[in-house]
Amino acid sequence: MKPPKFDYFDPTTVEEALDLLKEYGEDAKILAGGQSLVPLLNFRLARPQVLVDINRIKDLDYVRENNGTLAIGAMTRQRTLETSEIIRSKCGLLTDAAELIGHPQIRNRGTVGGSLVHADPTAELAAIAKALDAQMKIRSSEGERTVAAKDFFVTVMTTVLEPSEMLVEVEFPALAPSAGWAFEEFVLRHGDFAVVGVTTVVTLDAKQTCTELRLAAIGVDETPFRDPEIEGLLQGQKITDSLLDELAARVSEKVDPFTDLHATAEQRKHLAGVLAKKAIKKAEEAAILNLKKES
Amino acid sequence: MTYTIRLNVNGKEHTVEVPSRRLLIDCLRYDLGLTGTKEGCSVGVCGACTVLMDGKPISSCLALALFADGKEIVTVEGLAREDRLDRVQQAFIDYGGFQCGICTPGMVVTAKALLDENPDPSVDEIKEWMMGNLCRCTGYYKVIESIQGAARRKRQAGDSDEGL
Amino acid sequence: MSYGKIGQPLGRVEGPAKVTGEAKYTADVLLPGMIWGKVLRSPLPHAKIVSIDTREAEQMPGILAVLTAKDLPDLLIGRRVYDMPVLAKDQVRFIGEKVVVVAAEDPDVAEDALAYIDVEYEDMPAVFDAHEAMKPEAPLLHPDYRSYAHAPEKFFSDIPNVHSHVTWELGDIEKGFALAKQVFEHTFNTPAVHQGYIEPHASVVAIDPDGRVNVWISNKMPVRARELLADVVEIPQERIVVHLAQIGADFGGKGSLMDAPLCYHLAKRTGRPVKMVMTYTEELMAGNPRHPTSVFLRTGVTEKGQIVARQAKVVFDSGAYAAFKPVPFVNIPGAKDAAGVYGTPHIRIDAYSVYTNCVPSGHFRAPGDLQVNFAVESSMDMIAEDLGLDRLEFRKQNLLKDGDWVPGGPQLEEVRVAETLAAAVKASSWNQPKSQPNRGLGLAVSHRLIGTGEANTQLTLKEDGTIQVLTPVPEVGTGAHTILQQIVAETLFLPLDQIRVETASDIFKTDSGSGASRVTYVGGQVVQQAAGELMKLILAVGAKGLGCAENEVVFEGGRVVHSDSDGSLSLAEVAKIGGDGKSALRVKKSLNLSEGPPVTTFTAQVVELEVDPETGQIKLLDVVTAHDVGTIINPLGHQGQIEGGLLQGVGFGLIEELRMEDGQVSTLNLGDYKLPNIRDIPPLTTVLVEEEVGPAPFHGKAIGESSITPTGAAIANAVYDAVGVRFHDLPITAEKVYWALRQQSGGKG
Repeated sequence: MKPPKFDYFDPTTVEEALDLLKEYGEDAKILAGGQSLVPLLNFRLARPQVLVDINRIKDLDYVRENNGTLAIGAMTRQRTLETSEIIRSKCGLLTDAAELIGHPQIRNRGTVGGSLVHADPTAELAAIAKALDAQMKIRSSEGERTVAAKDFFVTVMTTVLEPSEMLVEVEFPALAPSAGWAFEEFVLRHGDFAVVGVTTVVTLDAKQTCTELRLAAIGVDETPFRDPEIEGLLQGQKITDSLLDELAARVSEKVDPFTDLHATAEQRKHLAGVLAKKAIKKAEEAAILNLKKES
Repeated sequence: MTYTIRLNVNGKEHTVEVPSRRLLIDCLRYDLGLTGTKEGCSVGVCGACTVLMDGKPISSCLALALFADGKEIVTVEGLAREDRLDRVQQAFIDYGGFQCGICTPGMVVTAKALLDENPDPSVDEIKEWMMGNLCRCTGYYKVIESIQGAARRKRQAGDSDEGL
Repeated sequence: MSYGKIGQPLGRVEGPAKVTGEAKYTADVLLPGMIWGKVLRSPLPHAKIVSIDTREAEQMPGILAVLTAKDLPDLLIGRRVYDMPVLAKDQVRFIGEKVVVVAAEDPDVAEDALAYIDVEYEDMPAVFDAHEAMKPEAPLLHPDYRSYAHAPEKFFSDIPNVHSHVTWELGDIEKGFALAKQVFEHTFNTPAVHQGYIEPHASVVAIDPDGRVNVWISNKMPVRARELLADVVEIPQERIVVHLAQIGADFGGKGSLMDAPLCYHLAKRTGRPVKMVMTYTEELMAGNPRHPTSVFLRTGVTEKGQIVARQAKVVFDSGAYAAFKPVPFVNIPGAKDAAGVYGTPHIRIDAYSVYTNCVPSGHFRAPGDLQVNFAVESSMDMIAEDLGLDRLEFRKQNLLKDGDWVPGGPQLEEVRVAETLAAAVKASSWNQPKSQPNRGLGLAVSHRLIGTGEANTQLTLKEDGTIQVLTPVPEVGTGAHTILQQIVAETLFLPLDQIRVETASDIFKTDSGSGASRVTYVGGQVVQQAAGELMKLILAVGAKGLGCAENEVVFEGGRVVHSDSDGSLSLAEVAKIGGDGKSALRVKKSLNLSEGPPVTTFTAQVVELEVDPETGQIKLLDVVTAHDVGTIINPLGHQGQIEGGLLQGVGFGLIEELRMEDGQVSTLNLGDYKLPNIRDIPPLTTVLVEEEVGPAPFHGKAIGESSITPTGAAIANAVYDAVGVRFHDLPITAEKVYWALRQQSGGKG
């Protein structure tokens, strides 16, 4: 239960880190907060020859607001999601969802970028990134590119990142003040990894008609599930129970989950629908409250 | 290949040679002989290995020793001052917050960080903060009472740091 | 009756050491020159070992020794029957069995070396289910079982793989069923669950130049451990010293030698102290979990709802070895509770312990009791419903009474089960109208005999006037040392801080250690008796010192006082005068109780819960646990036992399962094996039905294995009350509930 041997570098700038990635290519792995990678090392399920520890790159730990978006540096600790006032005011879904990530010891070390790049199929941050169309800023020593969250996650534990690349920032859109949101999870024990989770953002107009629904689910596919057709179901509609039942049925039908130790595929399908309904209801209630506050 | 790290543990500076794969928990226990910090699950679930790094609780089984280079670490051995126990420690004794004691170092360190940040936590806040610390003996009821007791005593003592 | 030290909610004597990190557990033992051992385990459930190639590992830098079975004496070990090799010799019998051990300067290097060892295996047919293993065509795991040392001849069976068949009988079962109007049959199953102590097993062995073998081990029975180790490494017991370390909880699981024999052999080979610490993954794949159990019940009931006959067949899956079972009949004692808390004139219980190619099972708090209680108390609800009787009234009508016999137990006295059940019901919302749909109430009642065995102590009046209490019982977390301190202080009318409880194993030849809810009862009595004798000695020596007769002195205010004059002596002064002027004042005492006391303990629990019909998730809304208790020696520790046991019972009922597929454990870390955390605790009300009638010192009773037992059944009964689904298997996970509800509603989602 201890890591295998590896060579270690702890660059203090992004450029240095990128040079190391270029040099060692597939032999290298980036070590961020370590909350996912170190268990894999302890089990010796991961055996990288080189670890590039980016904890000393101060430049990657920031939260900035620019023109209606929220830019979060890849090395921002998950704990910051809970404590940052900018995040709370611009994208409160991140604040509320943060407490679903592991437990405090995990969040004190675990990073926003680390979680996204690890691409665990039950990671909350991946669901939020996908639901909100977050933009992932990626760098290599050759240059920079930006990838939309929908294209970022490839499959279980795999993203579009090339061995020479690293995620440096993720940009979330600010949520409308009137929007309501929720993150609902099914867990086997409080605070556990989600078996299935659904996050949603509901926007209503003054007549409480739904103008936009965003919905992503985790634990039901290799990457976070999102479907424009399903989101369209509520477009321009008053949210009713029968509409939600229909939506839930569509979610259950469309997701393509797996069976593992914690749940069968069939149960996951069912849970995705149940949680979608629960989450939308909760988000709708929040949106109505926000509307009242505004008027 | 080994690396030289400098870390401050419980107020004392240490310089240690470690291989890259050395975990912080092993560095504390075996390089520095501070065996108060315990290893349970080795995967960051049980919380027995919790230490404070720059004031924040972390799992030392999921941290490379190299992470601690230049940092301040507080372990269970660093809570009492001279022969006086910290309030949290005394409360865990008085309220029965442990039985076998193996999870206790992690528990008291995590609870100490909670009370430093939130001197009057509600039961829900205690549960939220402490959920990364597993205990198989107490059923947690007396862990909660211990933390509440420590908080109450601290409030009663006011600003004075004297008396428990 | 009022006492001074008894009944005080005292913090632990070892408290300061535990909260400061000073307390030393076995894994904390650091010795100069110490090296580390790691084992290579079998990846196959049943296979012949064709060859083992360790050459590459031996050549690795930092590797100091590599041992296989051929390097060790050809001996088997076990807590009772010796059936398990230290390292697998010709074959492996479960996934996780130890095959090769390596030693290195650094534990990480030792772990590295394991990858360079080649073992060639040849698959053998395997069996993973106890019932399958009992069939004639099943592969035999231990064809030579009857020749093993300490195999219990009286309990041999001709059924394949059954290594112990124990029968308990009361009355005449045939006659009982003849009296019955109706006969009910039910079967229930429970899985393997791990004790979940946070300290994995650790062992350290250091051999002195003069041949003395020093052992540190996570073992709650150090005297027995010395005896077993002497046998398996073939040295005299007198050369072994077991140093008592703190134990990071036991719950029944820390009674074996585990890796200590390997540490010894590595120490002998290398001349260095050797430490081995299991990882938690090793704990989960090769610890000694609670037995997976199936319980078949046949119950005969009269027209008036009186239970007249109970037949039970309890099958325990022992796994590949019976080595972790400590009792002489090599079976699980809890099976004898298969009649529950009900006075039943005709009982026959058959318990079968069966070899399979799974993880060897061991003891876990209230061994067998939980499995059997889940069956009995579930069946009580089912029978009541079939008979159209109220489930509470049906129970009340059948409860044990003074003078009833229980299987394998005494004729009971001072039976308080009715009062305990009534107290639990009263403290719950049992008699209130059902509040909401999908909510339900369940109750269950259990019985616990107080354990027997041998306890030892040595009390010494030290020259500083303190009393040293030596015990060979390590502190496993139950607060035993604090209780012993309280009993001695109370008996001698001394302040607590004048009593020092210390551990020593080498001055006692035999001892039962901690377990079976025995320590307060047997261990408490032995220190109480020794304290009484020490007081006599103190008075005698004091009288001599004061120059008067023994009947002229009294013990007052911590001093020996001459009643007719002002003369008095402090204990320190008495100690200096000494016994006969030569040695310290000392009493060494042993007590061996083989018969359990006729006064026992009962627990009644009521669980209220809510089922989410959409997800199947169960939320515990309220738990009431009621206990009939004697004098409570330490209320803080007593309540701690209740609360801790209860949450283990909740885990057993709802989430815990060591999942296995073809002998392969799949829940291999504490993320996958779910121990309840602080957010999983239910609201809890404890009710104590107090009466000073217990058999322990100052009329105390046992509590350690009480609250854990009925919880699983109470939950199952509440789920049935809530949604009408009866579960015959634990744990009752959300997914099981969800599927059952779907089936109930005819497959509609």
